[in-house]
Parts: sequence; structure tokens; C-alpha cells
Amino acid sequence: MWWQQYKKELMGNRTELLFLLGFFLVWTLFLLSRAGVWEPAVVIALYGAPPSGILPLWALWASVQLYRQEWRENTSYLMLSLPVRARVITSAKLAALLTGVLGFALLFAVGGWLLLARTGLWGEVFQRHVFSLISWEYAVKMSLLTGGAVLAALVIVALVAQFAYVFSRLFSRLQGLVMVWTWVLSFWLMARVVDVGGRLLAFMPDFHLRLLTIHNQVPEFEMVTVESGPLWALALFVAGLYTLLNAVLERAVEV
Amino acid sequence: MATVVFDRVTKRFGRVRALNDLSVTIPSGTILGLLGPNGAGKSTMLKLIAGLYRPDGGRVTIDGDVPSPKTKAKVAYLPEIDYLYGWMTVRQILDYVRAFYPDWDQVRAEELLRFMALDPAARVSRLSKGMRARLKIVVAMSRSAPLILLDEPLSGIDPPSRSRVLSAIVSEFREDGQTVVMSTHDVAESENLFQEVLFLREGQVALMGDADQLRAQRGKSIRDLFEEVYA
Repeated sequence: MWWQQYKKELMGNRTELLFLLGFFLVWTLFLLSRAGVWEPAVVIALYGAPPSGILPLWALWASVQLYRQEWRENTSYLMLSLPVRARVITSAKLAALLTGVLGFALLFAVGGWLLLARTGLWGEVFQRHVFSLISWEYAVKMSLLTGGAVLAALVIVALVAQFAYVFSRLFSRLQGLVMVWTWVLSFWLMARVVDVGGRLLAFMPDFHLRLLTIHNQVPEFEMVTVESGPLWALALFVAGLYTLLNAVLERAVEV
Repeated sequence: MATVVFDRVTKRFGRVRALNDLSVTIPSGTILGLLGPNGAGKSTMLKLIAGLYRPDGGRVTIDGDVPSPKTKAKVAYLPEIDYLYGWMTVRQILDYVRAFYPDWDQVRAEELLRFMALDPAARVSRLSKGMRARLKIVVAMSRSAPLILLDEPLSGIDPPSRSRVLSAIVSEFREDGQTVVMSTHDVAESENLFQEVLFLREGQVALMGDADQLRAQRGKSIRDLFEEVYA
């Protein structure tokens, strides 16, 4: 059941996804053709600019679109009459969105690798002393941590957007306004929960990270302590919001 | 079999009461005609049973349960509007829906596809209105669901398709295990299909009973009764 729903979400939104990936592919190919013509730093900066700007906006737009389309095309009649818990639908939609994000990330990584190689920056980077300090294990661990943090941030953006849209369906008028305000208030509430919850959960053990820093061109590892209280509070808020999204979709929203 | 009970159900849309303190029990093992003019509350009743609307007052139950994923498994619902994914092919629609319902009967689905003359490879968005209506019937009737809800299944369909749709409903109905509730404001064509009829007026029951008994008692066809009730 879940697989069918996931497949449906993926196939139903493939045009937008392929357009986004196609656009980025063309952009990458264009920059590859500029390697050796333009300054390497300019090429790399131009390569990194679209993902940092477009990806969060796309995640936001696609999150709303995944639900909006169901009501606009009356397929909400089918979606809401399925004999499944709402979490099957919401998780399939989130998973489809994440698949798009991962596809984009993969394309970005491959394109970035090619650009760095083409501009000759790879060689320069590897020759630096800093790389002799980094083990593969550390590099993989930090890459996964960074990737996970970016993914988690996108999931939060997507979840809030989906909740805001589904919640706005409870109103017969001013749905756009309700959606925007739900979006704003959800983030305000999230900040409050992280602040207050972080203090209440201060007893939770902290995280320790070995971070590579560079002082006066000298690389060194530094132990950084990250309070876990706010992170636990954030996780609880996200879990609560997801539960609420499912409850609204299953028990309150109408076609 | 599924018994549906409306217990003092009210459903409002703004100031309009689509259903007004409606209390009615839909008997199981029958084909019930839900009759009334536009705005009588027929579609609202069906959507409440399907769990697509929530009552503002009162309770709707299916075998004692309020609409939920559990009751949705018992209901095959055909809405009046086009509700199937236009980008899917006929085959993809059937595969998609089949995954959610253990009572899906693939043999019956294939038979209905042939009977309705539908091309499995055709894209839903490219089908004519009549063909899309036929596909909706295939989706609803390919299940051995205890409760089948058909909201204006003949709406906007050409005469040859209408007779096919009605034939499919009659041939697939199993009296021992199914209840069919079919709404329509076009009584003439479907009059002989109904075993029970429920006339709705302004969200309340205007008349309800066994179709044959009503004909005998009143000496009128259901169509004539319709005209009398809504005169």
C-alpha cells in the first residue's frame, strides 16, 4: 500500500521534478563549458548559488503542490476515501519530496566533482596540508552529519508547509491567508518550543563534535559541545506537528 | 453486509443546511435509490458515509462505527465528479486502487473492463466523459465491498453508456452481501433498479420505503411519486 502511494506521488510529480533536474543539468553543463574561460572561483560560486536559493524554495513549493493538486483536480475524493491511516499518505508524500531532494543532491555532488576537476581546483585542494589531517572516516562522518542536517532542515520546511496547507483546508474562505499565517505562527511556535524546551531538557546529555578549524592558516581539531536540549525539543515539536497533520487529514479535513 | 445509520445528522454549508436533523437507517442487502432534486442533500449523505464530510451535528455510523479507515475498507464510493488521476492509464488506475483493497476482484475487473469496452492502455485524461464514467463504475464495482455508494453514476453519460452502466450495477450486485446506495435525480431510467427508495427534501426524509410496496400502495410509478413529492 505504502509503496503504491509513494510510486503514485513520484510519478504524479515527475514533470516538475524532471524540469528542476533538467534545469540544473543544463546549468552544470553550461558552467563546465565555462571552466578554463572564467575564473575558477566564479564558476564554483555560480554553481553553488542555485541550490542554496532554489532548493529550499522548491521544497516549499512542492510540499504545498503535493496536496494542492489533490484538491484542485478533485483526486482528494480518492485520496481521502482510501482505507489507510493518514500517516501512509503523509509519509509517502514526504518521501517523494525527499527522493527529489536526494536526486538533486546527487546531481549536485557529481556536477561539483566534475567542475572542481575541470577547473583544476581539486588538485589544489588536495595538495593543501589540511587534507593530510583528515581521515576518510572523519570526512564521511562529517559529510553525513552535514547532509543529514540539511535534509532535516528541508523536512521541517516541507512539514510546516504541508501542515499549513492542510490546516487551511478547514476553512471555506481566505484559505491563502490562513495558510500563510499558519506557516508564520508554526515557525514562531517552533522557536518558542526550542527555547523553552531546551531549558527544560537541559538535563539531557550534550553532544560532542570534533570540528576541524583553521586559525592563522593552521588547521586544528577542536572539541565543540552542542547542547542537546534544544535539539530534543525541536524533534518533539516536529513529531507533534506531524501527528497533528495526520489527525487533521484523517479526522477533520473534507473534500 | 453493512447497515448505515444517520442519527439526527445536520450538515451546514455556511447558512445552508444540506442535511437537517436527518435520522434514517439504510437497510442492508438492497439497492436503495436516493432520490431528490438538486440540493436535496443526496451527495452530502453519500459523502458523509464515505467519510469525506464530517457532520456538524449528530452521528453517522456504518455497522456501529463512525467513518474511519476501518469503515472506508467496507465502502466503494463513486463520486459524481471525475476523481481519478488523469495522468494514469486505465491499467495504472486499477493497479493503484487494487493495492488498497483486499476485497478487490481482479477477474471481475477484467470482465468489467471488457464489458465497458475500455482500453487498459488509454490515459484517463484522454477518455471521453462517457468512458470516464464507465471507468468509475469499473473501479467501484470490481470490489466485493459490503457497501457501494454511487453518486449520480449516469450524470452526463450518453444513452448507450447509460444502459451499460445500469447493466453492470445489476449484474454485479450480490443481494446476500452488498448494499448499493445510488443517488439520482433522473428517476425514469433507473426506476426498475431500485428495491428501496428514499426521497430527500431540504435535507430531510420526504418519503421512504420498499419500491414495490410504494407502487402498490399509491398506484403510481416511482417516477410519478417523484413528481408528486416534489410538486
